[in-house]
Amino acid sequence: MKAHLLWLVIRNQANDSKWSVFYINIGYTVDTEALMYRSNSRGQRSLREAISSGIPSLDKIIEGGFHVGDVILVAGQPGAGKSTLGVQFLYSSAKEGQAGVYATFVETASKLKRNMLRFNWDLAELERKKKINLLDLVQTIGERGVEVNLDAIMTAIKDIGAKRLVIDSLSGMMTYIQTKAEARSFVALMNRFLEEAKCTTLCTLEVPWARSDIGMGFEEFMADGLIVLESSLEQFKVRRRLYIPKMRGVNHALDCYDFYITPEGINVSPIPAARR
Amino acid sequence: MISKGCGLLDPADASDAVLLEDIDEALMVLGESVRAAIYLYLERYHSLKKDEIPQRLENFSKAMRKIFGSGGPVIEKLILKRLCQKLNVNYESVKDKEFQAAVEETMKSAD
Repeated sequence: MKAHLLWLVIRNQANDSKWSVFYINIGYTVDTEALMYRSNSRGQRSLREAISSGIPSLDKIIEGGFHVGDVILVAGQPGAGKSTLGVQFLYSSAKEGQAGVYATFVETASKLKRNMLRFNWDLAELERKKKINLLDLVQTIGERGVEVNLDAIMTAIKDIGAKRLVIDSLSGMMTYIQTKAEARSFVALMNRFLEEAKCTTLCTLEVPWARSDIGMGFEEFMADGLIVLESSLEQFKVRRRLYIPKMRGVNHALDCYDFYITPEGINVSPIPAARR
Repeated sequence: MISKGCGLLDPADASDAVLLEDIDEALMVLGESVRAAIYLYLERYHSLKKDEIPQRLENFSKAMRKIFGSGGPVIEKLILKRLCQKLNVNYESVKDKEFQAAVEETMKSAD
């Protein structure tokens, strides 16, 4: 439902913990379905515009979804499910009409399309409908400057009016940036581009096996949220787990959850791993 | 007049070239990829092409503040310092002025 509203949230002078909410019509269009009230454990309420992660079981532990316009990092080892999570984030909304861009620096677009068909996610069809733009930048990491790839991404967003973006992976995109200081400045600047584009963005980060540190050691501080996907060998079987160390402005779960890659995509266990 | 290739450069073009060179050098402290991305940002979101910067210093200044927040003036100071060194102008005399005014005064003092 679309409405023309101005929301006013006013603190109650008599009782600091209570808020009064009013709205008036000012002709500015907002999607009222996406505006959610949330209460934290202390009963304080906040108004926020949430965007679904595409995974209902994940949305449940992050108060309904990501903040619109936020940049979220998804860090994980090889095979942890980062790309699947990224595609699910785009696919679910693209089916509903909201366009998204997937910039891949890791897996070629043709392989990604082939691999996602196992979930019945036909990316080629959504590409034809201009609901998904798959940017295959695997070959251009070394050939062109990182800013040229950024330009290609921003053009793709504009071309289809995308509101969601996945960069898979940020580590791949920044491969040829020489220093940590430059990479940090680049990420800060990229955030400005994404703010201008009003895109909610998922950036995957590669974590090599047997390493616990994430990326170059600064990315998690600059992002609005961080989702860590872990896989470990337990009793001769790979076990996948997910936890959320950071999600600015969201009263997110602090537990660790098992998750499964099912024929329908990623599904997060509703019960925290430690309590099972 | 400053010679450029086999032709001659107008004094105004010459001072623009010096300023652009200073901007290039100052932004390079952030790294080549960041510098290139800044020019891209200026063009994409402020319709400001690199060679138009000397004529649109106020827009450039606004964009720098948008990108770097309160760090914007730091970049401007870096540019101004280089410009003063090249044109042999006392930096202390212009450093407290707004970027556009400071650049214009530096250019004028150097004439």
